[in-house]
Amino acid sequence: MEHLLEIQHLKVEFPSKAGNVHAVNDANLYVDKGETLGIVGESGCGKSVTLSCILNLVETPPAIIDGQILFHGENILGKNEKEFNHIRGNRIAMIFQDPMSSLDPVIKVGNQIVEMIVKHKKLRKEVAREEAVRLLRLVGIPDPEERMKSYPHQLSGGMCQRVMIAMALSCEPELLLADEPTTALDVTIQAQILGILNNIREELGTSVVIVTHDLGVVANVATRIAVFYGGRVVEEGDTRSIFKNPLHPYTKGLMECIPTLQTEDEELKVIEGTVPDLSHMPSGCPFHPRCKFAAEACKECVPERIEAEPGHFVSCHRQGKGEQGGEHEEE
Amino acid sequence: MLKRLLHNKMIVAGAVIILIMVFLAVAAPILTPYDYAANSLSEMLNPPSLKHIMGTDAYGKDVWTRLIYGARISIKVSFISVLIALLSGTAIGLLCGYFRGCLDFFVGRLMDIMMSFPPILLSMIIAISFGKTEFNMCLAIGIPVIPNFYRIARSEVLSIRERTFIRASQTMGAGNAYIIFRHVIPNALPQIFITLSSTIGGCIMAESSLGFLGLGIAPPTPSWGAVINEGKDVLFQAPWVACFGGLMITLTTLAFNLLGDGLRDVLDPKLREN
Repeated sequence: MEHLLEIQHLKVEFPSKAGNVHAVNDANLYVDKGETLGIVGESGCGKSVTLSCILNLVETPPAIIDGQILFHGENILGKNEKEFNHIRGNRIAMIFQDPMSSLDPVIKVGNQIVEMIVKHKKLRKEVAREEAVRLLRLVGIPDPEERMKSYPHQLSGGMCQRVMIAMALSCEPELLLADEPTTALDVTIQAQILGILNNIREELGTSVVIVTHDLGVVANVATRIAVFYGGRVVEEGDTRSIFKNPLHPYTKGLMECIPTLQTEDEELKVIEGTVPDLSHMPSGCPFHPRCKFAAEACKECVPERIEAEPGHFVSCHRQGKGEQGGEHEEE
Repeated sequence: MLKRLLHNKMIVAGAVIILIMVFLAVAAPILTPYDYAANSLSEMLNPPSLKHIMGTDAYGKDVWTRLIYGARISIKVSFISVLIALLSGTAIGLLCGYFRGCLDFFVGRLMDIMMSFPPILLSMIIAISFGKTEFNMCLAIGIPVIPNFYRIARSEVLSIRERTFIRASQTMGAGNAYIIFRHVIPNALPQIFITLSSTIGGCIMAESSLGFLGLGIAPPTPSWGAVINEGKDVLFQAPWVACFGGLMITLTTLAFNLLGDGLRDVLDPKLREN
C-alpha cells in the first residue's frame, strides 16, 4: 500500500568547524492517511530537523540532505521553492512549539487567517472571512467574530495555538505537522489542544505528525509511535504495542522514567549518560554507550531494522540475534 | 486610527507646529507686504516693531518675510532629501538583510565608507560639485543619510526574519515578496519611523548648515541657514535676526521629533491600549 508520506534513508548533516553535525542518520518513517504518528525522543535527536525537512525548511547549503521523502509516492526532496509553496499550507501544514511567537504581532489574527485562505483557495475576502470564523469555531474559540479583531498579544498561549491550528487547517491539508505543539502550554490547555488534534483527525481525516518529548502526549493522541535516538528511528509501532511491549532498551528506559501515582521511590528513574554529541556519533548502535545490555556487536555495526511483531519495527542487535542472546546478557 | 493619533499629545503638538510652518510657507505672499529680496537702506537693523514684527537685517530686509519664504525652501528640501534617503536606504537595507550573501557584503562596505565621512562634509562635496539647484541640494542632504535607513532596515530584517512567525508563514506557502511586504516591513516600521523623525530634523539642520556656509540655494532666495548667516555678522547689534532664524529651525526640528516619537507609540501594537 502506498503511504501518504514516507521518509526513506533521510540523512541531514550540518557542516561545522568541529566536524559535521549528523542531525539525522538514515531515518525511515511513514505516515498513513488518517493516522496520528507520534515522534518521541530527547532534545537533539533529530525530531524537529526531520519535520523541517518535510517542508524543505532546512537551508541547503549549509545543510547536506540525502535520502528520499515521498509524498503520495512522489519524491518531494529536491523540489524548488516555487513547487514547495504549492505544497506548503495547501497540502502539508505545520504548527510550532511557541504559539505566541508563531503569529505576526502586528496583524490581527483574523486577517492572518483570511489572507491564507485568499492566497490558497482564491476565495473572495468576505467568503474567506466567514470561513475563518467557522474555523475558529471549529478549534473551540469562543466568540470567534470578536476574536478575529484581536492582535496576537491580546490572546493567551492556548488561544494562539488554536488560531495556529485554525490557520493550518484553513486549506484542508492532508498532513498536519505539529512540532511540540503543547510544550509551551500548561497541562489543562495541553489536554484541550490534544483533544482538538484528535477531533480534526477523526472529523476531517487529516493525518497528523506530532513531535514531542512527552510520552503522555503521544499516549493521548498517537495511533503509532516512532522513537528517535541519535538521528535514527530505533523503534516504531502502534501505540498499544509500544507501550505494552517496548523492545528497544531505550524505549524501555523511557517508559520506566514516567512517574506514576504508584511510584514510591523518592528518586525518579533516569537513563544514565547523555545524548550523544551529534558531531561525534558513537560507532555502531548510537545507544550502546548508555545501554546496559551493550555487547561487542553493538559497538561495531548498526543494527538492522527488524519487524519483531506485525507493524512493530525495532533496530537492536538483541532482537536480531533472537531472544536467547538477550536473556543471556541480562543475567 | 485617526482618533488614536489625535489622542497622543506629542503627535498633536508636533503636527500643529508642522502645519503652521507649512501654512506660513504656502501663504507667505499673503502674510507679508514686503518682498524677500528688497533692500531698504533707510530701515537697516530695525528692532522688532509693529511694522517689522521680527525686525530687519543689515540690508533693511524684513526678517519675518525672509523666514516665511525661507520655510518654503527649508521644508521642501529637507522633505525631499529625507524621502530620497528613506526610500533608497530602506529598500537597500531590506534586500541586503533578507537575502544577505555577496550583495550584502559589498553594499555593507560601501555604506561603511559613506558613514566614515562626516555627513556635512559629504553634503558639501556633493553641493559644490553638482551646483546650487534645489534638486542638487536634496541629493546633497539626502545621500549622506542613506546609511541611517540602510542600517536600521537591515538590522530589523535580520532579527525579524529569524522569528518564528516568518517560519510559520513559510510553512503556509508564503513567498519572499509576501513575507517582505506583509511581515517584515510592518514589523520594521516603528524603528524606521524613529529614524525618520530624527533624520528629518537632522536634514533641516543640514539644509540650514549648508545655507549658513553659503553652499545652499543661490541668493537672493532666502533659507533659514542663510538668514542666520546674515545675522551672525550683526549678532551683537541686532540679535533678533539670528535668533528668530534659529527659533524657526529649533521649532521645526522639535516638531518632527515629537511627531516621530508619537507615531511610533501609536503604531506599535504592543504599546497600544486594549
